[in-house]
Amino acid sequence: MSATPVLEVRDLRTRFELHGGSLEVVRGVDLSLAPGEVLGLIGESGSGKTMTGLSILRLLPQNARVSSAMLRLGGEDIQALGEADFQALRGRRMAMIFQNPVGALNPAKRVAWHLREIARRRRGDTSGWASAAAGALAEVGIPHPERVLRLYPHQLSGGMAQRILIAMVMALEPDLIIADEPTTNLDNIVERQIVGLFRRLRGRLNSSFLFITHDMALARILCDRIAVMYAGEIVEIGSTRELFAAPRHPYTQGLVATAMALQGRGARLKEISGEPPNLAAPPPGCLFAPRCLQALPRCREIAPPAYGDAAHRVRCYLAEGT
Amino acid sequence: MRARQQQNRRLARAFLANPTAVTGAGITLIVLLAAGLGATLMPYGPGEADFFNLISPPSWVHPFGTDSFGRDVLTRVMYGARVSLAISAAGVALAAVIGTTAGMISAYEGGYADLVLMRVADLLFAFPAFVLALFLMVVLGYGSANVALAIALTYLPIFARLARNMTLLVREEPYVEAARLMAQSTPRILLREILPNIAAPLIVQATIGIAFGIIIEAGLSFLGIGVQPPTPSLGVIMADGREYFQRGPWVLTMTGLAISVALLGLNLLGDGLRDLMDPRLRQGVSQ
Amino acid sequence: MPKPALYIGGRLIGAGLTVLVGAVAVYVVMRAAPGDPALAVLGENARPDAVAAFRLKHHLDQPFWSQLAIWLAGLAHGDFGLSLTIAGGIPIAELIALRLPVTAFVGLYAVVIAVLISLALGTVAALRRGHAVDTIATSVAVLGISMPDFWLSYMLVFAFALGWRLFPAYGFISPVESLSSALYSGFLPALAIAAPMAAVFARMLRTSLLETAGREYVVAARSFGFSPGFVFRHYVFRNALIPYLTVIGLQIRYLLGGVVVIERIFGIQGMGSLMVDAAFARDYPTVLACTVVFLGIVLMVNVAVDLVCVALDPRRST
Repeated sequence: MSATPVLEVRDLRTRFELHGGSLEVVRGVDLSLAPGEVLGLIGESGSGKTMTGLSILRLLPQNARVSSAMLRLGGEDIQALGEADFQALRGRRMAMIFQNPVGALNPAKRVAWHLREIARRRRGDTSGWASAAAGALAEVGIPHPERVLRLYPHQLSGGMAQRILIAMVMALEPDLIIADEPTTNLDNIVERQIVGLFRRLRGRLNSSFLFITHDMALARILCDRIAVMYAGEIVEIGSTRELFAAPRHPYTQGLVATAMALQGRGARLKEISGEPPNLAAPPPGCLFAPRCLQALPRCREIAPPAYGDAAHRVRCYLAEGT
Repeated sequence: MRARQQQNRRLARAFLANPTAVTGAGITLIVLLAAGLGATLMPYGPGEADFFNLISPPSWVHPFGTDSFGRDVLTRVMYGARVSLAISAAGVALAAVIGTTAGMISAYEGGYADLVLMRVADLLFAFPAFVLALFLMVVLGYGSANVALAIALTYLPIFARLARNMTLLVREEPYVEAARLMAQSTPRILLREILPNIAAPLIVQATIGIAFGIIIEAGLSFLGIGVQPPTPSLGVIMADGREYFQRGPWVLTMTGLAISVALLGLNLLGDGLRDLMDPRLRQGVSQ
Repeated sequence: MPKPALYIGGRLIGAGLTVLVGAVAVYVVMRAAPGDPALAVLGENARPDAVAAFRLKHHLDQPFWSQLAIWLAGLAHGDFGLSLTIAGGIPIAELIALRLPVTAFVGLYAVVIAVLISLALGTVAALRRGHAVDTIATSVAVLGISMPDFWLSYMLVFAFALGWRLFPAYGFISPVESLSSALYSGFLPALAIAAPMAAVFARMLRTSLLETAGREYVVAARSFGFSPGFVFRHYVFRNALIPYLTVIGLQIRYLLGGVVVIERIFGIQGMGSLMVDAAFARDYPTVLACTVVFLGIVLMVNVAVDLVCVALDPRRST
């Protein structure tokens, strides 16, 4: 497939300037997303996955420094854009779905206001927004849209709010949608409904998704390709099928095993003991080495490069020679 | 013990790194020195009249000029600052002691005590501060001591509320539980376990309270129903300067300026302390 | 949330009860003070029958509780009793009726000025956080609360009345007579009262704006590509209003005090100067009445601010 990737990121680095020094939370991330593809970004909390999403959209606070060797949206270089031009891209070409749906809505305004302003953002005016809004809400599975339109965010359940946010993002018709743990804060039943909604909508939309989550099993259901993130780095990236059939990085292996065990696929639940490294003072060598059961001596000395090809890359000495 | 020393050192370092706190502390220190020692260093006495130099403008000999009795205004301001600070500090201290005790008991015991004490505090709080002080001066009579009392009653509810809120937070901490299990008496628990851990915001409040106390004292004395002459408080001196403001504006102006500087120091100090206490608040001094 | 009428009614009743309790409290405190009011007013050497007539007129011969009851009953009807010394025995209520509008006007004028200044100062400081403008604005704010407002009045008079003859230094025309004259003659006093208020409000607005700007819904709004001005107006400012207004309500208690001294300085015939004059003249009933009225004003303002906050906050109003 040689279609222009929707998103191309090379060596994305995000650093926070604090009083004591600086903290690099995203350490050289490479990603690319083909049109219509769903790329999963998996990691435990603190791995930098949310930061990656926010960095791509430049939504971080002022004490954050984001840099990259390349940042292209649909083939266009957006790296050097000023804030005003970048703001024009947000919402139109790329958008975000948030982890805390109720918290992402304006508490002082009704649902109707949100949808009307989204319509204005998309089309420049608000003509016919009401019927479009009702239609959008129905499409994400909200019964009685007219009633919901009059509600305020604090009156919404998490699942309802998330549906509304999805409807809003859909209405924008962006090329790239970054979904940051959209179901983490929802209870299981609702989570399954939202996941089902995703799968239904995915076919209808022309957007590509960057699906951020910590849930490997969920990624398996929704994603075409998966990138595994640890301590600010992508340690493995490949197609979902390959990653589950033959994970190469020990961390991925652990994640896959856990996911399979939870789904009752035979393997026992192997806990990955230990904790992520302190990014203010990272250990030398591979950042996963302290927790890795298969670590070699040189893993603790020099960090491994990425091996493999565009389809499947692994940042581990164990994958050397493949 | 060691942990507390380390924490104190950390606090001291953070304090020195905060420009607001340092500036505030510096100004306050200068003011305190001027009030405490300055008067004795000046060649004039506060009541020393110089009838050849009535209402003369500021000069090298008299940096703040002289008043209608020929008294050196700077000297009087220094004495006056001493008086005003003392009254305000006394009032705030009284408010702090009574208010904090009431607040702590209210939060710790709960029930009727809480209800009654907080209703009383709310009632005191509902009156405008200066009006309440004015009313009390009418009832109690004029004079420095009563001004301090009035300031105390005005500020009492604030300390009570603050102490109550903080105690509610601290009440469930493990070291309080431990003390309770060891059957320590309530006063002892309140004093040794809870008080040290709620002291920080109370100190901030006290600093700002002294600033407000000075304004109240100055206002009352300025009207003539606070500190009574011949005792020089800053408000009294201003009241005097008001009589001949058009002829000699410096008396009132410089005195007010002195008040402003003192308040600036206290407010900055309070702000700096508050910045400091914010994240530290959650740490407390655990045993 | 209960129906609006119920809520408003509830708050008003609560305020009324507080005024009642407060009134009783100040009455008791005042009567507890030593001294015989009759002798205090008429002098130590007054004739016995004058004293007796005085005591009769002011119900001083009745038992304490019935005096309290009489007074409270009078309050309910807006009858504060008769002034002792100030206006030679005319009903206090008449005095108050004349003076309350004046104080209310000056107070409101001051609050409006303070709000306008603080909106400008606080917004600028928050938008340009960390820059020179922010430091300047915050410093001005700290200076604002460090100056006694009665001192500031003199400085203003010095500058704008005696120096550049822009505004009158003394004398206030009641708004009842002429609104424009009231606005003109009341500008300096209102400004003096407003200065410390504006400082406090500006600091609070800045803090509130900065805190709100870090909320998740602001990040979300930016992610939709809404313009910075839009995000500021509808997300940041709109949601920062409530803590800001709450503080305004709380601060009225301190700042109303400024009215008392300022009225004296500028010769404004309001409640504040009435109270001071009554204090000097040992006119206890009038002092009592003024205290209760001021209490009522503060409570009314608090209720009003609370209602505005409820109206603005969908979490409380739905």
